[in-house]
Parts: sequence; structure tokens; C-alpha cells
Amino acid sequence: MKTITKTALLAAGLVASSASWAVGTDAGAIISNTATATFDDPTTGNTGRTSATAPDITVAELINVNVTAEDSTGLETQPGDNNQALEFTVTNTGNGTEAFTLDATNLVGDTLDADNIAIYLDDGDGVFTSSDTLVTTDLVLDADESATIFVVGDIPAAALTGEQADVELTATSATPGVAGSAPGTLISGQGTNTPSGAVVGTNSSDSDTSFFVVGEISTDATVDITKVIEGRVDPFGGTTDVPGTVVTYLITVTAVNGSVDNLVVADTIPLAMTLVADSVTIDGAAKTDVAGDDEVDVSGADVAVTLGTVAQDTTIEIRLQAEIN
Amino acid sequence: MRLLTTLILLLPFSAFAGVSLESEAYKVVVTPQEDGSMAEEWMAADKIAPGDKIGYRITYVNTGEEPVSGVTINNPVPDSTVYIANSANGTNSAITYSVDGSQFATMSELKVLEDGEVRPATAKDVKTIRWILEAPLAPEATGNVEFQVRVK
Repeated sequence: MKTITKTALLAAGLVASSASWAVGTDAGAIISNTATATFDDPTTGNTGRTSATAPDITVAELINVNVTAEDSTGLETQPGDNNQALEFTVTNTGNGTEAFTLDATNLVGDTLDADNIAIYLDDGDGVFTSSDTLVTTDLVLDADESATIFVVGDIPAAALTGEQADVELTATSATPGVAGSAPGTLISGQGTNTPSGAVVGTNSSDSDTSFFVVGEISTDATVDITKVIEGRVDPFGGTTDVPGTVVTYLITVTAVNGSVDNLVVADTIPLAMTLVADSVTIDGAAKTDVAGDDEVDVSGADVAVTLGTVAQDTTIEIRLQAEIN
Repeated sequence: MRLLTTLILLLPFSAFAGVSLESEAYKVVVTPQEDGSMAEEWMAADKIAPGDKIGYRITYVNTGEEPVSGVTINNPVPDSTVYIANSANGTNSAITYSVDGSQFATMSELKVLEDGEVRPATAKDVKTIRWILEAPLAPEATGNVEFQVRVK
């Protein structure tokens, strides 16, 4: 007997788990039961037959939801990083279509709070991008349907290495009367696709926590470089782009996160243009095109500016002029 | 159509001498008692949701004037539910089960052919429950049998 019970439990594993996790019989399904009796009819000597049907049962909606944080080890960030995204999965573990209210909050008791917390619904690629949708209304999920949700926040610029911001995402059934009701409570007049009402499940609200953690603050020095057209003068004193127009380019170079050594800025003059001889300047100082006499070395269309060591946060402006052929 | 339905409903009670049946559904709730034990209560069958237990009670009565022998009650397990092990009972009756609706055996003798292999049946496999009354049913005698299922 014991063995049978055990086997039954094993075989029923799927069913047992359905009560707590996966979806069961759809809300609105009708359960019908008929018993039939046969007997030896004493008056006719034949087999008599009779049957009886119990009142049908319409399955109520069972409201359950599961929230799971996908970043179990948190997300490593840097101070000042914006739009950092923590991934969650929200699953309707009930048996009917249900709307869930989502709420994301910074938890207390940790060392950091993320700023500008917002909730986004993934567009299906599983990566937080600009095409994801800001969640401003309840999330509607069919039974057993899942959605990927990003909780997005900004890391304060003053954050320190090792500081952690715990963020909790909560999904709560939006059906009126569910909030605050004990599991098993029947909410009459509610329930998707069933006249039997909605039953508050053991997880009509669920939440999970993930976190941002500030990693080792990056100290690798890098160079920011930009190039813009600062001005142009055409042969007639105007600013049209015609043959003979001289264009002044401004290249700005800045060392960030520390000083850099052996910095060389290279630029190639476009095919349809010619460098104006000895037009290159560094921070306003004129340089020659000849190799070896100063920082500037021109070879055909290639301009090389050897800046060497540049201290942190130092900005150098390089200008050069080229004429449209 | 309505007339036809009414006729069919009346048939078991009026047209045949012998046995008539009645079937009722209940929600089965296990509640803790003051002494710490658990008691099973059969309540009105409302707010039935997945995972809940339904109890069916089938009442039989001999409506004729002679004893009836060979009373056999068959009840297929309803769709969307699974039979709960050991939940079928009925006084003075022999209970057997079937996984295909045609061959019946006791639970310990019941086998299932699955993927070419024979294995012992479990409660989940049960498709039909059968009660055979062990003695002829006297006139006006009544009794009941019952079983429980869990909503998938």
C-alpha cells in the first residue's frame, strides 16, 4: 500500500506542482459528473439501467503570479551610469487572463539607492533597449504567459565601490478585492471567463529582489576626441562649399581618467581636398609640415600630430585647413 | 426541446422499477480541529479552483417492491480532474477501478501499458470507478457511495 501511495505521488508530481506553479484547468471550464447503475430488474428479468448527473461545476479563476529576478548576482555598475537595467520575469501562474500592477522600489537597509527607478516591458529581444515600453498601466497576462520586465535606474555619481542598491519588483493582481484578502477568499463577480468568481491564490502578489552593485571604479586613462568644421571661406568671401573654398577643421583631444603617454593624433585629408601648407596649429601655435622640426608631420594627405604625454583633463585643440579641389 | 429534457430527467425515477440514483457534488475542505487533528468537511461546491478537491456522493435507493440484486454503479472520473487515491468508499460494496473503462480490477492489481511496458497503475491513471453491492438491495433500502477528485 505504501508503495502505491508513493508511486501515486510521483506520478502526480505534475499535478501537485500545478497547484503551486504551472497553470491548471482553465477558468470557466465545466466539470460534469455522471454515475450509472445497472441492476437485475426483478420485474422484467432484464438488466435495468439508471443514471444521475451531479450539478455541473464551473471552475473559478485562481489568481496567482510569480516574479523572478534573473540577475542572481546583481548587475555591476559604475558611478554615474544611467539607464542600468535589472531583468525580471513575471509569470501568470493562475488559470485565467489577469491584470497585474507592477511596482519597483529601492529597499531600505542597503548602502545605496538607485535614482529615477522605472519599469519597462521588453520588446521580445531580452535586452533593454530604447524600443522597450515604459510600463504605466497594469500588465495583462494570459494564464501561463510570461513577460520580461526591466527595472531601470540611474547610479548616483557619488556612489562608491562595493555599495549596493537593492531593488524589489512586485506584481499584484489588479482584480478589485484581491489585495489584502487571505488565500482562498472568493471574490464574487470577478474572474476571467467564469461566473464562479475569482479565488485568491497563495501568490496573488509576488515579488523578488535584484541589485545594482558598484564595481571597482574604472581608472584606465582614455582619450576623448572630436572633430568639427569650425568655419569655411569660399573664393567670394562667402561660406559655400565650392572649389577653392577653404575649410577649417577643429580637432579637440582630452585625456580622461589619468594622463596618457605617446599620444599621436592622425588625420587624413579627404580625396577631394588638399591640405593648406603649414596650416596646422596646436592650441593656436603655428606648426610646419616638415617632418622632425616640430609636433606636426605631413606626408601626402596624412597629417600626424605627436602630442606625447598629456596630463589628465588637459584639452588640446588642433586646427587645420583644407581647400576643396 | 424543453419537454424532451424534462422527460429524460423524469425517466430514471418513473419508468424503471428498481433502483434510482442521485448524485451530488461537494467541495472537500480539510480543516484543523481544536484537538489538533484534521477533519474533512464536505461543503457547498462553490469557488472550485485548480488544486481543489471535489467530493461526489451517489445515493441509490430501491424504489420497487422487490429486492434488487446485481446493483453495480459506474462513475467515470470527470474531465479536468484526477482521482484521489483511496478516496472511493461505499458500505457493503466491492470497489474496483479501470484505466480504460472496460476492464476493472482492484487498485493493487491494476496495471497500465505505457510505452510498451506494463507498470502498476496509480490514482492518476484511474478513468472509472465501479462499486458492486455485495447483497441484494431490499425495497426502500438506500445507501451511498462516494469518491473524491482533484481539479487539475
